[in-house]
Amino acid sequence: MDTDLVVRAQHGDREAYAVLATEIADRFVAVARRILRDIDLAEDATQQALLGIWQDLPQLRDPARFDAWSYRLLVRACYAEGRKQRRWAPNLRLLPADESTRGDDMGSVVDRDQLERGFRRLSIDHRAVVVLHHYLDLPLERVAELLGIPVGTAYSRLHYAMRGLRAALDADARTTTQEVAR
Amino acid sequence: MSTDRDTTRIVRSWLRTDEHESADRVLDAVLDQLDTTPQRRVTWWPVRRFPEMNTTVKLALAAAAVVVAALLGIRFLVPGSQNVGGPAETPTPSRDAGRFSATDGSGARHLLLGRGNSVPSAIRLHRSGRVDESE
Repeated sequence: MDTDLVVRAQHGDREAYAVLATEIADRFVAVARRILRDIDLAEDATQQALLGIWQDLPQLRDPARFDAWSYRLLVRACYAEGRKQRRWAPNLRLLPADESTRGDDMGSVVDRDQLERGFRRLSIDHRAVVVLHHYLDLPLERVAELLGIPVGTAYSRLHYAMRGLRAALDADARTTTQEVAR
Repeated sequence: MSTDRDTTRIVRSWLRTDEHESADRVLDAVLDQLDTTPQRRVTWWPVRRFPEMNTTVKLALAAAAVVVAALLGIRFLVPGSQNVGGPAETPTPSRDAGRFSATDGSGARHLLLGRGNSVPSAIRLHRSGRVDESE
């Protein structure tokens, strides 16, 4: 991240912030979409985060830490949107028609559905750790720093989340085995 | 049964599945709002917030604020309420044989005699009959 842009934006330069926001917005939507599992909520969270970053930017002491700081605001916005989702929204998701034909090493669309269900059962706290670690490839120490939690808590959340996802996949495997046996 | 390594590989692959995510709509909305959204500047005054304040504490603080406001209102707005316990006695000046005298709250009288080399400038006569002289 260009710290000069960050410094200019800190001093109220809207054009500099527009460039910054353009650089990070796609990544923000992708991360929020993976945490919240809903594109509309992800876009709302990203919008809230980008506006919050603009408002609080003068309070960022070290411009070199912009990345970690901005992700912290994004995750907070995801928490807020996640709370709204639990209160109001029905938990529906439309699967694109060509999703099952996509070439990846995941095995089948059944795996995806099982993972989706298992992931939705996790709290936003756990989802955030999984996404930041396994999608953004951040080391857990950095994830902990970014979320403002102890490193041990980050490890514990990742362990719990992965155990839940593994259980979801194993449940799927058991179902398939029983169907074959019949 | 899947191993931990399998699960990690499958989850990573699932998370990296391409989705058509474009932030164009979000960016347009944010950039539109920038002009009307002021930045929060750092102030010298330390701003403290207690986002997780207990409801009971909130109610207690609100009640305390109401009580303090009511007391201040009675103290300053209701006439005659500032001298609770009766009016304080104020010194009353009077003329005594051409010299200025005053009575203070204790009932003692002050005779102001003026300055001189050997004459005291003030004499205080107590009700008990004791006399204090001062330069």
